[in-house]
Amino acid sequence: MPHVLVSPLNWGLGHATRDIPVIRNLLDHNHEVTIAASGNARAVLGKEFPECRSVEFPDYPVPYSQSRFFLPKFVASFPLMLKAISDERKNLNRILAQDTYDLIISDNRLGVYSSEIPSVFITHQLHYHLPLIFWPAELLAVAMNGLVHGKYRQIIVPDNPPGPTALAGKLSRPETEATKKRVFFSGILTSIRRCNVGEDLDYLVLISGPEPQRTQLEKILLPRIHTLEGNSVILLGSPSNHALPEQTGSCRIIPYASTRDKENFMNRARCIICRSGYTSMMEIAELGKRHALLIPTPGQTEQEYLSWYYEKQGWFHSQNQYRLDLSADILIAQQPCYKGFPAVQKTEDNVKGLYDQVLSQYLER
Amino acid sequence: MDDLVVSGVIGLIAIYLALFLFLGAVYVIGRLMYTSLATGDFGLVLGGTIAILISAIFYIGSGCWLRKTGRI
Repeated sequence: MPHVLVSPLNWGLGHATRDIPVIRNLLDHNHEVTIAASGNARAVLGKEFPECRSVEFPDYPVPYSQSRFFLPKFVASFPLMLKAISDERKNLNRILAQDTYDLIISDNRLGVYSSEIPSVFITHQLHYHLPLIFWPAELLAVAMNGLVHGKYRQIIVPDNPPGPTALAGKLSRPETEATKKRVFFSGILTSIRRCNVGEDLDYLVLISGPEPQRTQLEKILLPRIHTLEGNSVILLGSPSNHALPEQTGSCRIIPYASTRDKENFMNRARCIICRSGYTSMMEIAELGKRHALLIPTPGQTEQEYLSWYYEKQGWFHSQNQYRLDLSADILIAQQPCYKGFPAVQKTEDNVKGLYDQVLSQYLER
Repeated sequence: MDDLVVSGVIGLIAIYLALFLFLGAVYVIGRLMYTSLATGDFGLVLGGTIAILISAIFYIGSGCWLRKTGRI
């Protein structure tokens, strides 16, 4: 039975959750899957796939900052990141020595590849966006990305090819020859599925993402939530028990929801308020939601770029968390000038295409 | 050591070196301008200011052009 090692990055749950349909598809084809991850990413996949073996595989220190100055902290953490990648390479060799594998799937883990075992890399960021003042670093990052991509047989991008339906804009644009030769645009990949339920929920607020910015958003949104007219549900994305503000009849606050509950609420929502992380964007695209208010994580250049890009495309309204006027911004977000994402092929078809065109060549020999 | 890590270390040294050179240049130019100002050499102050402005405009202009043409 072909054996696949799947290793997602544990910076938020986005990488792990988008791998869920891929792992499910591999299991449907009777392949053995071992999950190599750490923290919440490992916990979520372990819960979703109890039949899969799971090994602890630490990744990189999370550089997110409490202030809006994410970039200086990120740059200062480079030496630590390099050390972590070096350790990751050693740990990977130890994991590979314990069993035989036919394929390695790395979701944004730069050091998870082998020269002997076919390795593929999942990423939606072929091009890193940086503030204009750092443009030489953006060019340098393109070259570095090409170097990393050269280590893999193929680069899987969970987006449509560059063009009017590409959800990640310039982020998913291949630049170097090494990337262009290897890239495969699978289309969106998400664990959220469309259900046949009515949209009876006016607002769904998703307070998610890595700490400490998750708590920051909670502190900004919760005191203002009563200004929303209609019924709303707030998912805090925090399993820890802490005192919640008074809940009114039309507003429910849920500290932590399971994947299935979250799927249900997202299906029922008419308008979603959330961070502009790419995984959340794929979920919105999968469900075909037309109204959302996006609040990028301050200093996270990827989210800031996506918010700007969607606003420019007329897809969704976005607002900086420090300038947020919830009642006014939610009205703007529901204006007819915002059309939502263009219609895209759904995950079920995308994951089949990914298996038939990429993964099967390494597993069905 | 893995070649990816070696490339990363080289890149990191290049970034820190560029930062060091930039800060060094800021210090040297700042000192020169201050001395010129103190000695009343306004021609050098004016020339230096114009040169800095042209360099800054060229730098930002290059970034704007790269972004506008979709290269970054």
